[in-house]
Amino acid sequence: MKVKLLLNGRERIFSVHANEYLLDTLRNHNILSVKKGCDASTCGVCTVLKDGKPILSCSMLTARCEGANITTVEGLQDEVNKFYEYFGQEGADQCGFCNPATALTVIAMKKHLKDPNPESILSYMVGNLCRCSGYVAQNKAIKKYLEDKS
Amino acid sequence: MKTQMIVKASSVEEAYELLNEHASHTVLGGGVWLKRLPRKIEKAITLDALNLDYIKAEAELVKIGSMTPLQSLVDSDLVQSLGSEILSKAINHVMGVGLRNLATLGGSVVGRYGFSDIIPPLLALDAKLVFHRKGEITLEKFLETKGSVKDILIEVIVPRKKSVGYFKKVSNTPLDFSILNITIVKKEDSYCIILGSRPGGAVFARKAMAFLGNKPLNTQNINEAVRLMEAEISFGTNHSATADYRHVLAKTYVRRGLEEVGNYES
Amino acid sequence: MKTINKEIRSVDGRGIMLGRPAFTDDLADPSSLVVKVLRSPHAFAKIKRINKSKALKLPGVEMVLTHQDFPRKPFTRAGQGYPEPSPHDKFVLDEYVRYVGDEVLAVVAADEATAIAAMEHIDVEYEVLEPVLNYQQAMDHSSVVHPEEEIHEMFPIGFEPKRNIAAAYGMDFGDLDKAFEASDVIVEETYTTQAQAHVMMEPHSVNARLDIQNRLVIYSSTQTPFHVRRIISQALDIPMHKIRVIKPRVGGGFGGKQAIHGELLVAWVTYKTGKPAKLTYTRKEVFESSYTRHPMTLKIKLGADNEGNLKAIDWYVLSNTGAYGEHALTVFMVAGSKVLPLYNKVDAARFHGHVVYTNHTPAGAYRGYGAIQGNFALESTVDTLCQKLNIDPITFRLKNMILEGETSPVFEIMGEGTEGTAMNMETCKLDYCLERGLELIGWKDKYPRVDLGNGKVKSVGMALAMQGSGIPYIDMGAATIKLNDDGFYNLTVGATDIGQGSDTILAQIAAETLDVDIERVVIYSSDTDLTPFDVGAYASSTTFVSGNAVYRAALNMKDLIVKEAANILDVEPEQIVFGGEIIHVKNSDTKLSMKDLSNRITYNEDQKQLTATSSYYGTKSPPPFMAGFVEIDIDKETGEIEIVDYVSVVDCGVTINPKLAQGQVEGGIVQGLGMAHFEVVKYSEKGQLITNDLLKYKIPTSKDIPKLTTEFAKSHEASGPYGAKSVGEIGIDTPPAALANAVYNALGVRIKDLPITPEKIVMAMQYKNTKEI
Repeated sequence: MKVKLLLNGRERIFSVHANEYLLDTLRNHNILSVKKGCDASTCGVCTVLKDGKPILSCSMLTARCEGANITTVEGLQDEVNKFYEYFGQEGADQCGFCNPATALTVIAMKKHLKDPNPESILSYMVGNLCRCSGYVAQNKAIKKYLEDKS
Repeated sequence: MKTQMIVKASSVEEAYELLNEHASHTVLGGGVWLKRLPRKIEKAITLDALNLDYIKAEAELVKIGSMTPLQSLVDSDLVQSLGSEILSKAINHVMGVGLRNLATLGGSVVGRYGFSDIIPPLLALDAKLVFHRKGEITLEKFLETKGSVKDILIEVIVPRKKSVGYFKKVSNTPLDFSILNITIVKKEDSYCIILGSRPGGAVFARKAMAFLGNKPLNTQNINEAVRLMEAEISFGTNHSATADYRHVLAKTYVRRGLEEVGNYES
Repeated sequence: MKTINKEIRSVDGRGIMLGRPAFTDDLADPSSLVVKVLRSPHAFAKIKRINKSKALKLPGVEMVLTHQDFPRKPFTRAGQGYPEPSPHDKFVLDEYVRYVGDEVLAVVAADEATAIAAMEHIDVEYEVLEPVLNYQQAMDHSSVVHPEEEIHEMFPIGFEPKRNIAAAYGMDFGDLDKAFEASDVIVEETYTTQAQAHVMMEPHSVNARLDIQNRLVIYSSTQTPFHVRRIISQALDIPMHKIRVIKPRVGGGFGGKQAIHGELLVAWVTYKTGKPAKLTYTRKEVFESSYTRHPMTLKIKLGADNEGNLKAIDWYVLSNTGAYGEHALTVFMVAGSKVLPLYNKVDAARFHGHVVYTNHTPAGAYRGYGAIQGNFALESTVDTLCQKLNIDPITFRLKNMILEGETSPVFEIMGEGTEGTAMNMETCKLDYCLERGLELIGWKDKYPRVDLGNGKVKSVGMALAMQGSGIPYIDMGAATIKLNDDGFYNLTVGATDIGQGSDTILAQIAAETLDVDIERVVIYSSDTDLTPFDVGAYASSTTFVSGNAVYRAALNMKDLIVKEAANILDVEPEQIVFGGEIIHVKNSDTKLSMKDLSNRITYNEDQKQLTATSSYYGTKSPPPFMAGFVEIDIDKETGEIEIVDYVSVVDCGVTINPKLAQGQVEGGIVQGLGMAHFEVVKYSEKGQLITNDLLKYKIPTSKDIPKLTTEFAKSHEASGPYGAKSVGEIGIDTPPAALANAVYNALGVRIKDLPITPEKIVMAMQYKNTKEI
């Protein structure tokens, strides 16, 4: 079946099987920032934005995305660069496998949470697992980025 | 799981017809658990085109469309107003935002998952379900039904009664299933005490509830309620905890929950 | 210092976050054949018959590989120095399957769906054998996990496969009986530590293609590209010069990628078919069919006199290596060798034990590598001993622990499967780490406990730890620096960045030595064709071993440049002052820019390419040290623990990059806390892995870790590059014992089997109460 998406601002038509998930569709079409970590909606590294909201692409059938606006870091380079300023400054990056997903979630959170506090930030981020960093440096970077109103 | 075909139903009736066409046909909620299903699905029916993503206020009710994503319930002022936020807070404990934006209220309820952190607060808030054919049914009655659900859930209705709630999820990490969850709601003239993820499904502590009636929550009454709960409710052992430990958790948190609800009153 | 010990950003972090293709699976040829492994449903079985004819008829199925297709040559998948201290007990595919998830056969197809469909069309007939599932009973069990005759050890490691023993070892010094006789107080305890899963976010992945010279080019998510090349060559009889292994970015390793995973199957498919092929593990395969931490039982006896002098340590360890013996001997030995020297003033000590085979997922290398298991046992027992002696555990440690300038006989006796290397602690700021940590955690106000009045108790607990910096006389790293026109450099290293930031810190070392900004040093690492040798990322070796190689290569490059400059400026080399971008002549205004020098020797006069290569192996392994302190609020009724803060004060010498070093420590702490508190690999009674996904195996989330306080002691290790020691593993060692000690301090119960779950605490308290009544 054919599915039309607005992918990173460009209209794209993909031919997919009913059983195909958005994660595989994207990776098969060279959107490689989206990673396969658990493939079972538990780790967060496959996060993309669907109509501006973070979702787990491993658990979203591509066929259900007809007409959706899908954004990955490939389509948000300026904002990711801005977030990375704080991330790099805190030395929060290690292997980086989860970082595109983290960036997308944080960027969405900045729009979504009107008055972020430590608890609401953690509730938003808790599904993005990282095995390298110990989280604390990441959380510092996230806080600084959220405070940046420029 | 393998899905052979995705069908976007254009009406609830069509969804109902398709669902009942064949045993392997399934309605998709958010589709989060789909990959884990061992069986083959000939047709997966989506309700995406039916405008079932809504949270509406009526005079004495809140109506929540079955396709409303969990995160919308977390964010909704209306849902937050129910039972002093227990429902929105309980849902906020479900995995991360990427999952809560996918998973729907309908999927979470129709699955009747024993580990659910959503069903107990809905039960305590006297939620009703509206199905396409069966019409309105209380959540409590629905949970007593067995077998696959061959009807379409349209919405969940929660009464807007004044109540004070307590919800506790005990787990090893925030992304873990509950080892046990404890829900307590103080209503106008009664208390509701529910234990979920025992690991079996959620149950009422009916003897404790009957005893408490609308008695004041003093130490003596709380102790008696806890004792009755312990005598009535059974717990099981699975890979995350033993029955003995669940028992310890239940008596501790039922007591604390009643104390908290009592303090809230005064 | 311009670059060292400065906050320099990682060289690759931005590009990775921006989503540039960087990891192994991102770089697979899109037309790759997909390799899928059919895995054993049985814990132990012999394959009687395989019917693959139906599968082969499916369109798109390229081949089905079974044990009959491979040379019958035992090898070890462990990526270690050669000859390896691990037994050669693995075949690419074998007629036996030894755990649920072991490889039965491989299906090769045009795409994944076809490969999966083909697997459903293959019939395998098994003769199910009685498995060995309890490692306490593995030795001399009626079932022999490895009955095959060809398997062998490379040098004596105590290998007795007919008894299910993969390795054994024993050592002692001093007169143990006498030392215990001289002890006023003796405590003897038994601890168990669980299997832990690595859970690196990137699953194991490999792909291969042939290049235009018909050579095999393999991209692998590995910690040890050079060992991978050697093992592929040996196991598959492919000449080494026909193989190139490239390690792209790696999404975490923690030891889990210090062994072969899908490389042999994929290499074979591409070598035989000429077509590109790939294999990426599912998360289930990562859990079931890669490696875990070695579960251990540690029986430890300590003796001390009434004055608090530790006199004797006697220690027996039984370790479970699972179905294959990767890192079996060495992990077990490190439980002693990187723990015992902490208390170097004992009169006598003994360390001995066995590593046994069972029909479980193989154990392998995992950050901490035995030290975390040993540390839990020793540092828990030290607190128990102090309680019996009625001596403050801090006072006891200050009195008995190793100090700067001292040594321990253990260093000389115990090495990596062989004898060790004697050394003095030229840097050991353990005393500072301990004192500073006490301040940071607020020990005097919180020890042993503060009742918070709301059903909770606040308490603190601590432990000391040490690790190493590479393996002396074994681990070698090399670096090459090339000067380009315009005066910038290429630095190529075999060292393996697996996310820990070694590319960044090695570029920093070169930049500092060559006195240029880090942007002027372009690093490229881990490509067996293009970069010099390095053993890889393990044993906390990269900063110390590879860093020393880079430092030396940069010094050599500097010498070459000075010589060129002297030649150009017509002065003696001694007259040249090397200033990075500008070269001066002493006591003169004569200058030459590096840009002009490099352009001149590239294009204009006396043209030549300047390159400098150097390599390094340690003649000692200066240990990093740390003191770890945990503050917890614990619920007296439910045993639930809230980690309030974890204070780490670390002596790893000079931190080349303080933020990245902090990341190494904190990442280790959190993994250690996961092991200490709730992570556990569980099997069913039939040997099936229960915890085979991230719903059942939980790792710490951002909500679990509210605060980490990490500081570094001022320390300068003369043998390290710019004073550095290593820091990759030290963070993981202290949490189990620190948490166990904090729980004891809070509630008076001692949990001796990991993880320390709330349930175990409650049950221990109930037991204690019944005993007291």
